[in-house]
Amino acid sequence: MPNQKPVDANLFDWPASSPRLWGSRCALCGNVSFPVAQRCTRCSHDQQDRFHLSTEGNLWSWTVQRFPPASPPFPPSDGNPFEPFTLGYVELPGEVRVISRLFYNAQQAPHIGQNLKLAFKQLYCDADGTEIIGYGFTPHGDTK
Amino acid sequence: MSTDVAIIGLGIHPFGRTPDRTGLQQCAIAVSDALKEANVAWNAVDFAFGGSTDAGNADTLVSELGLTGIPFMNVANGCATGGSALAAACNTIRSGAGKLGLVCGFDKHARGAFKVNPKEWGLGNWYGEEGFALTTQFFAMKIQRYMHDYGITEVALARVAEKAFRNGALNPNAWRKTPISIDEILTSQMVNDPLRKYMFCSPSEGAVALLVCPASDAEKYTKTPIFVASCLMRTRRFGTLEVFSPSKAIEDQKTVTQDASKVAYEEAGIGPGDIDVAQIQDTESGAEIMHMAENGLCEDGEQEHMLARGETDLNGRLPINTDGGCIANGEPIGASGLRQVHELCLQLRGTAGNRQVKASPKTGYAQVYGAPGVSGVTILNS
Repeated sequence: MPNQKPVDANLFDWPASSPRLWGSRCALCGNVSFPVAQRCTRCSHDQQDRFHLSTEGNLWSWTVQRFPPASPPFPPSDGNPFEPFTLGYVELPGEVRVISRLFYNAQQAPHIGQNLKLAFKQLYCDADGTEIIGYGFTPHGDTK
Repeated sequence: MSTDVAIIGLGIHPFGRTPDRTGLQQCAIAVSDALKEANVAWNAVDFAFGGSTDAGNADTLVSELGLTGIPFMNVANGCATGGSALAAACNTIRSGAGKLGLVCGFDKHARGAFKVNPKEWGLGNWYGEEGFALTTQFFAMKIQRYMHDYGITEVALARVAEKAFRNGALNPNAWRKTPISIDEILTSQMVNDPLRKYMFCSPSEGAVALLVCPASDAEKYTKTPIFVASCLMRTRRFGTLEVFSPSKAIEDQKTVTQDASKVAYEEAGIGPGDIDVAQIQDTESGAEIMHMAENGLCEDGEQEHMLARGETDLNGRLPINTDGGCIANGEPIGASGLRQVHELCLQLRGTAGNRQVKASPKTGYAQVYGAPGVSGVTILNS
């Protein structure tokens, strides 16, 4: 199996048996941040406790990226045609809304309120062949 | 009402593409025009604020204009750069630290979407590697949710763009001067759902210069001063959705534009019902629709029928983006906010030519929005 690593080690652990996104909760006001924050954006308190965010949520808004983003920071195409991708904000109930890739198969389409669960996918391979893993959400169960 | 600052000279370099001039050269031309209008020499100007994102340092303009030794401060607040520069100049006049100030903004961007370095916006590189480092996505997701919540349709999005090109066709300084039909807009290429190619502004070039002085000095320079009733900028508060947000709190908060707008109305001592003509940030069609409500110019959801009835057209009840806005002028970041103010001054003077709004307007409103969640509002009186 090729080497794999997360797109950013502060976002989630990889490889891991049940990988989850890291967030932080303010020790003073309880506000939840993603990614992990050093200081609360609501009350400015500087003690933030790291915890695993929920793996299930629902779609708050979405769009499709239909033109290739500038590279860098987007991974180079390596000659492959650009594949449009879907992204959105996913509401993790009681926690926070996080920006995320959305992974759909050919039969699925995004709609606001849709139930989603956390998923991971290879974003690209770096120069030494290491697979860079990104996070996303994918439809799950009954959707409202 | 605080009318202690007057705008007494205007200059603009046409927006669009000018391959044979740098951004700084375009700005020097705009400054020259503003000085001529006010009939003053550069050496009479005693302070300046200016900004550009991609076209160099504004203070280097002194080598084009003359090395007079004045304080010249560079301003950088993304798309709100012009609004911030004007706010700083107004405060300089109010404090008594300056008597005749230059405010200028210019830019010259490469073609295509803005290239974003996540680190400059306090984000990890992962944000770009996942494919999130694009301003266009933010606007798309904000209007997607807004359409869901308030029943705005894609026809309303198309009407905003159609109006922009129609107004641009009447503006000799605009970049896009060809009207485009609603059908053509609705069938143009999808860029970031629900936003299509002709609904977006594009990065461009251009420059604007304004001269400001204490209102009591205005008649020395011009017969048609325009008075600044309020001019300020604000940064985002907790709980709002902004450009380059990896997350957003579940609790909703008033947007940065709502915050800036509220204070601006209070400072001017007026309300939204007093506004005769407005220029509001239309990075794309959805932004104009949402900013109509965020600036108090309508209720959420009312935009659909206002646009259908042409209420924001040149001859409508409340003309908006009379010069074609960002959609027809493009977005030279440093110049956009001042372009809005320039257009308001023309409308309030009654010298906007073919696009002059019908009723002689007395009060104008300008609003810019930029990354990473800043908003600037200016209210002007004739």
